[in-house]
Amino acid sequence: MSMYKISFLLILAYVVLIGRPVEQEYSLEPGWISDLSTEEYVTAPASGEVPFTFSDHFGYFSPDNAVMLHDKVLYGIALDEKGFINYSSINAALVLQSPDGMVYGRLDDAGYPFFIGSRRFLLNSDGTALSEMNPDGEILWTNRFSSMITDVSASLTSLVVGTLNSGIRMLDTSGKETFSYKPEFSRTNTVYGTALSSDDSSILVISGLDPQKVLLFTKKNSGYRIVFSMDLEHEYRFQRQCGFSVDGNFAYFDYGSYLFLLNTVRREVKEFPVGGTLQRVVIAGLNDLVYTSAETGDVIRFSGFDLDGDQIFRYTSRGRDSFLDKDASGLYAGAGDYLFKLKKVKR
Amino acid sequence: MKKTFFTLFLSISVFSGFAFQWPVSDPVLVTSFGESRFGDFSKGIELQSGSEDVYPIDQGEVVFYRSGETGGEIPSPLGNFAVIQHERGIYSIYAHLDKVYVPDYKFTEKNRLGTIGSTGLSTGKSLFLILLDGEFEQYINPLLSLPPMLDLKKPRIGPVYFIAENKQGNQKNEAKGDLTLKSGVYSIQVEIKDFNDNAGNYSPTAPFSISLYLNGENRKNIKFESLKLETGNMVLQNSGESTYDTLYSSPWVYKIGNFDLSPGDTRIELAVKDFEGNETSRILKITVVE
Repeated sequence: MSMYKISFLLILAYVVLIGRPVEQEYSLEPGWISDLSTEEYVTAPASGEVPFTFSDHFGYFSPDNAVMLHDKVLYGIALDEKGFINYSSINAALVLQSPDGMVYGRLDDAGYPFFIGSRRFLLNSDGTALSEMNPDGEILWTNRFSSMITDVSASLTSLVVGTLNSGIRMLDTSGKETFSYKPEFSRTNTVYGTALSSDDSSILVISGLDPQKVLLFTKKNSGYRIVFSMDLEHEYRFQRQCGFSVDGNFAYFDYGSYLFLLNTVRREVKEFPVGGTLQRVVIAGLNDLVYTSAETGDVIRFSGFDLDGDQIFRYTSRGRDSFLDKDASGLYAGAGDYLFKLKKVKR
Repeated sequence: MKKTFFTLFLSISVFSGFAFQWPVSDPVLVTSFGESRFGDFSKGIELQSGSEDVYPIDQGEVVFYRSGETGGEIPSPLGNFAVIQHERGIYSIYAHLDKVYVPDYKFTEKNRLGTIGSTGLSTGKSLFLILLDGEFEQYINPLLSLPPMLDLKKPRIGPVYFIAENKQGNQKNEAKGDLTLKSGVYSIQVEIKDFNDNAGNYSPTAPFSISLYLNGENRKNIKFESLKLETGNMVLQNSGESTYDTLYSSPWVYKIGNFDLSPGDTRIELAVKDFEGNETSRILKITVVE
């Protein structure tokens, strides 16, 4: 075989197996900025709004810098692209509003709502029952648990619920159990975090003490089996942030001031120093960056990393809570009283 | 059924043998175990106190907590809280805290755990204490394992209703004295409020037990001892499979059960006790006609 052919095959192998277009050719530059403390925003019905919430702000904006709705969070907020529930700590009823602020439904059940993707849930008053509601706020089903719910993750078709003492339970869209797992490797069954890939093929669970483990389940036939397990050196005893990339090739979880990224195919873990307590993560998957926001003191650090863990950009802002989202044209971020766009510009 | 009863007996016995300490000083009971709370059984007790500090009821280890610093991805109706695991798989949960102090995970009864607050779905500044038996996966009335609370007030029995279901809908009869009813099946419902010496008259609670005797025969016992999940429903144990919907007509009106009343004179006795053993009873004389 000639050197030419060998070189060609090596390059081809590199492109197929290792090489990928990373976004290092791009940089982020400030785009628009909105001061939510001073500017008044009129409600303007429109489509394509992006929901945001950080600090005590929430609302909707369009990518070209038109904040459609901005208001203050009463006690908690559940919102998605189609509407929101802005609720007080104690309510006679939960009121559903559309992105233009119009009231279109009400829910008399006690509890706190939260939305995951396009699905809407209600956690009951003592955190032991979960209900799913339709967009109008009607309860579709309620499922009770023998101990407190510690975390919930959902796809369009499934739901994984972590509990204090009963492990995880996976439910379908009617609330029927399809899979369960009770960790019995440690002296407590407490689940500290759950994540479900968008296609239901993988589940990530953080559970137990001495050891505290990260477990990756993948779907096999009608059930799931553990394909990766990792003991965590430092144990945390509160709800952990974890999730999957949009393409399902990566799972992530917070670990002190680090983001741990698990390649679900190669089963490799990489550490990303996010520079504080992790708040938001945006990961599309292969061929994209990992975007994070993290808080330390009253400083928010926005970072972008390539998949090898190398930091591509860093941007800091004052604030204690943050917002992060992205589309093809750039990154949308919020901290303090400011909502802003970082435009993606080719170097 | 036998296994369930044995499990409950064993669990209650274990809890009765414990001597936990009050988590707050000078506690005032404002919500009792099993009481109607936000449209569901209260799985714990709600305490008010003149002091701020909250201590564990026994030594143990914090296995899960939530505070303003930890945040969380799902909302927390229990507000800021801490969960302590004790021996034999028992968990105590301290909810609606203002501050949560977890400098170390190991706790004795003398280590301050937090301060009383009103975070989450709370109607006022109070501590919500839940006791979970992790081994048997059931909630236990914390009063079973806490020191006695001075209380000399008897529970009060309010209106008693006999509700007959017929083609025209439910017919509600209130027993204000002697009552005459047509024979048939009646749902007997009664308003009961218990008052604690410390709480005064502004904050009623549920009683600890309700018994109904029909012509001298014990026909129904309801005890607010423990709650367990059974076939998707939280069931009050040892109380005739009572779920929230089958027990509560409204927050203070209890559906004691359905009883077939045959023609003749019928004597119904209701006996209600609070946790400290104060008892109230009422006898109703019913004339049942064809």
